[in-house]
Amino acid sequence: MNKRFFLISLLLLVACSNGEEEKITQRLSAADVLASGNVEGFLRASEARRFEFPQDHAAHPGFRNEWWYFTGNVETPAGRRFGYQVTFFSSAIRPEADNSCLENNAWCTNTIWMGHAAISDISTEKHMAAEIFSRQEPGLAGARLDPFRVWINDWQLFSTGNDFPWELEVITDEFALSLSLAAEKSPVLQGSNGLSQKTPEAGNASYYYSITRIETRGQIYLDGQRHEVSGTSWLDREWSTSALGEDQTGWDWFSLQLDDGKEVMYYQLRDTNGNAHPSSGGNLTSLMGTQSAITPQQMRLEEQAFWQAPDGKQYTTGWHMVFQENDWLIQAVFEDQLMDVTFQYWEGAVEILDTSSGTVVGRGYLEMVR
Amino acid sequence: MVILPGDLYECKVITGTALLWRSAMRYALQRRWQTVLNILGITVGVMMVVAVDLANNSAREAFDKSLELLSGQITHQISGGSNGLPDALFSRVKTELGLQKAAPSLRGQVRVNGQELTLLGIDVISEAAMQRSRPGLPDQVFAVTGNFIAAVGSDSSVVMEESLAQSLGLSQGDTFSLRTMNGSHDAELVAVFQSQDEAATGNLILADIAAAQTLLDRPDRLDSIDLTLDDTAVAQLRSWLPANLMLVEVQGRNDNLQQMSEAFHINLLAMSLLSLLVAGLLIYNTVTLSIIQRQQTLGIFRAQGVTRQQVFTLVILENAALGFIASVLGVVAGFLLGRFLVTMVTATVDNLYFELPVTTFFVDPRVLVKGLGLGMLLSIASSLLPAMRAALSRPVTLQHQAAVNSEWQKRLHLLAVPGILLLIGGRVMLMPEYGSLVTGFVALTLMVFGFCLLVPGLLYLLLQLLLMISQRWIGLSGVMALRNASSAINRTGLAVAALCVAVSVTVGVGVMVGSFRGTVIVWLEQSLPGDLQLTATSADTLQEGFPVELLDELARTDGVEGLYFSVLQDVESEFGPLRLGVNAIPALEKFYLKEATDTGLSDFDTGQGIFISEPLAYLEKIELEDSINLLTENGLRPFTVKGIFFDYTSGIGMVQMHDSLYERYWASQAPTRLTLEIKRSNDEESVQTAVREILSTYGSGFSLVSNRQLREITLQIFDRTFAITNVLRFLAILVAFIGVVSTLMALQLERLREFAILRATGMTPWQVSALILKQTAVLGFCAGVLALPLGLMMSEVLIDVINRRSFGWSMQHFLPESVLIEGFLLALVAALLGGVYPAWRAAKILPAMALREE
Repeated sequence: MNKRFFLISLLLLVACSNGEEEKITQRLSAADVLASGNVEGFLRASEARRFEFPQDHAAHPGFRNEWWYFTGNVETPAGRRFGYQVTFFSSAIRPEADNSCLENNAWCTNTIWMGHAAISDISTEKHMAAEIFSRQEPGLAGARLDPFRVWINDWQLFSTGNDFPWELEVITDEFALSLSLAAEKSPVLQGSNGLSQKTPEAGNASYYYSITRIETRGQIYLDGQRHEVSGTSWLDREWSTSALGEDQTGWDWFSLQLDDGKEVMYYQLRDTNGNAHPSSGGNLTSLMGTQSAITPQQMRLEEQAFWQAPDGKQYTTGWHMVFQENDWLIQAVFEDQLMDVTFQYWEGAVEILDTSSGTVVGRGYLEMVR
Repeated sequence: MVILPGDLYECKVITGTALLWRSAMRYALQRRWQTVLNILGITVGVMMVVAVDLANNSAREAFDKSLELLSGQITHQISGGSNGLPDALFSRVKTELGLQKAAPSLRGQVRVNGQELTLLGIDVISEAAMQRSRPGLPDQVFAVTGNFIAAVGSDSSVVMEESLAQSLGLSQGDTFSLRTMNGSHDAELVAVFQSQDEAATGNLILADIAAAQTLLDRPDRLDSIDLTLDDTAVAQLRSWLPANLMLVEVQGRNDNLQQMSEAFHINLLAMSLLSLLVAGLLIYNTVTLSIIQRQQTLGIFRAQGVTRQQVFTLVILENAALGFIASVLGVVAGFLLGRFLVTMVTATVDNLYFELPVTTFFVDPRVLVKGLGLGMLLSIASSLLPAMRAALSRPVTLQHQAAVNSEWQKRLHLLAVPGILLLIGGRVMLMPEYGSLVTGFVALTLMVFGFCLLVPGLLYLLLQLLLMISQRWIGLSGVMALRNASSAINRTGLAVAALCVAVSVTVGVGVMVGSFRGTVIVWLEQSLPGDLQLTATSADTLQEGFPVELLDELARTDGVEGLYFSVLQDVESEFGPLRLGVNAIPALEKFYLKEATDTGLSDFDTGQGIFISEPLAYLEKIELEDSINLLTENGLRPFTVKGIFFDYTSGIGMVQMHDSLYERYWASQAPTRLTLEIKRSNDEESVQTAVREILSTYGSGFSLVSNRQLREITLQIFDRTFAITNVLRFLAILVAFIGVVSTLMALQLERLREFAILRATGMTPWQVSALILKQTAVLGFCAGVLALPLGLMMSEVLIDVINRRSFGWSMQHFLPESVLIEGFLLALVAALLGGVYPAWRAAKILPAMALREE
């Protein structure tokens, strides 16, 4: 998966700038950024590795980028529904050559963090987003194992031990959320045993695992009101020193949780003409946790409904997805779920409908980067 | 062709207007010296206003930029006084309190390739979250060559503006040596940026906090944490902060600094406006004269049917044209002078407040337009009255000057009454002790105007008096000179008033600066007692203080009579940062007190109260027995004010306390200064050498200065501070000079025909010249005499009101005789010079030619 890589690379370039995103994005195409990304001295995901848990929940220093990416659909006992997203991104400015600097000075750091949080209030069709930036040291952000804690200032994901259950706490100016997360399934290794190849070039890959079904309970604070909520979340974990291919400009990414206990992850890279790039793919997780790959040849994705963002970019809010025996309509719960932060993208809650009967068969999240 | 009456009328008007204009042109060309002087007067006036304005604006711009650059647009600051604060606090503010809009900073002075620069340590990521723009710093990273981000989190990387790098001979990727007070470090220039505003960044090295801590040798410390907070966050943070730290509202602090710099600028502007006033009087005078000189021509025009309207328009337009030329010249000259003045103003701000990293010449086009407008307005306004008189008079009276003169003499009291009223009004405005600065200036202006209105009357009386006293000795020509001057009182009165104001400006400012300097000398002798001063300068010695063995050795040194400790540090207070001075000398010997409570001195010595500086007391309206809160090691504590001492050191206020009191609240602080007294019988130089020798065995952590040298340096700084005042004083003199020469010249030229009669009736050319010179000398004398009280009045207002209201400084009055004599001589010489050319002309006159028309 390349999707968040793009964001993290741009982060480096605007970390010390204020606003003016438009100018920046106009001047920098994704390809420019990734082509100029310096990979020298960083570790690379060039071969399959053994994943170990809970160790792999913590940071992997030496790689350039890493993230903890939560999405989920929750609702109140009265049936008021919310979608949420919380992400911790970390990005290294320099390869960690030696640690002598940090020994002498607590402010020495080579890592910068960015957090994104959003809530989709489905009943009012209101989407709220927030972001946070921080350097890692001195103790301002980080990810450690024992006890487990990933944090950016006062946004944090933590546990009393080093594994689930986890607590996720985020406070922004507009909203806050405090959620308890308990994994219902074991981690799913994406790509080939957790090695997700981005382009044919060796090392241009990431280590990628997901926890596709996480039982979620807690509170959402909005407009001075507290909402008790429960539902299901999805975690994506990825670390890499990779770059987008020159002919890749964006992507669509689906995380779908079916009511019958299945989960589907599928991403489609888009080329400069807006068509699907061959380096696409996905994974189906069964109720019991067994996995099977979904190849681009097996997948038919049709774009059916569109929404135009204020900056003129067009996002697809209605999809027709057909693969194996499945024939679904995937619809955004409402159109404007644009992440209006320093780097804009669309990330929102979706419903999965059975095409023939029109009944809702699951929920999920959709991300589109254009 | 048929000519209709209407055409005829048109025809006449056109030729009439053209003729009028040609006549005006011819007049200006014929009296070209007078025209040139007239233009010059306005030019210099406008030049002063424009130059001072530009210099002020540039300095103010720099001042604001510096404030903004150093503090940004923030609401609060956590500050820990001179020791700074532990950096761990920052992480807690962000992670425990979740305050996103918080940014750390740490700065210090460094020296690179001999250049003194400011190193500013920041965290760019926090800066981005603050969403503030610091002027000049790139908010578009793409203007940056090299890797700006490479500086983040590195302990040796720095970033600077392109032209600064060039001036240091550095380019991106270079490693260079950077010196601080404590040693030197290598730094790498990882990126240079193009500044949007070199004014703000031209002296600045930027670094990450990590690098700033390492390069400045201040591990684990920050100077401050800048915050943007709402009210709930303020309350939350106040209750959370450790007692020895303080949350300061930034706006108030900046306001205070800005207010003080504003006062300084107003002081300068007032001086330039006073000279514009002089220029105004000059214009009024010369325009009136030019009307009188052309009375015949204008009378003929009027008799031939030129309307009043046309005469009025002619005079106004003529002066508007002259005013325009003069103003354009003035703006150009002001622009050039401003470039020069800005360095002086900036130096003053540096000396008085804090170092400005800047001296870029900032040209606000509005200033140029304003200068142009002022010059034009002044020319037109000053010609309004003469133009009206020219237009309203009948053709016949225009030709009879004598009638006008006698009318004036009768009306002198009509001028005197409003004059006295204005004087009283101005005085009343000065009454409330804590009035505003603006009212102070308005009052000053009123009083100057009032005095001007009194001048003709006073001059008349003075001339009568002179006539009475000296009639017997001065002979016929002397009497004639005096009588002439008093009969043409409307002309001479104005000339003398103009000269008087100009000279009084120089006297007033001269006396003010002189008094100030005198006061500073007295104060210096009392506040810098002792002969040698030893200061701890390194981190170690600042912490540990002076080793006991060193003290022993010093005490045993031949020639050393006594030694005592002192402390000089910054302390946070409810009014922002203050200087705190501490030592164990009895108050009686040390202070130059303005006021104290009855038991003030003993209370001070026993540690029951503190003394505060006069500016602090004045600006914050603190009175004796009030208490003020200072941030001690145990948090904010109240201290009772037992006395107020004179102080002229800096923009921020100063607090003095006895050693015994200091020890109670700052127990962990070691004394950092040691003062040595040298026996009178011993030579300071040799003792100094001996002390230096002893010091050399104790490392490099101490510096030794001679207090005598320090006093000299302080006086030098003082003189530099007021150097700009001298420039302006000189310019005011120049305006006065031009004004007087031009007025008197016109006055005498106007009377050439009278002199022709005198020549015809038997006076020799030499006698006529002497008559003219005598008369101008008398006028100069009178102006000089009248300028002195006005000048002293001005100095009084400047000393007791303006400077007190601006700076909170009060000073003793010193009367430098040289300034008075200078002023008087100035008036006399200017007047005599004004008479030279007319005297020469009058001597050459051919009576027959001049009297042909009689």
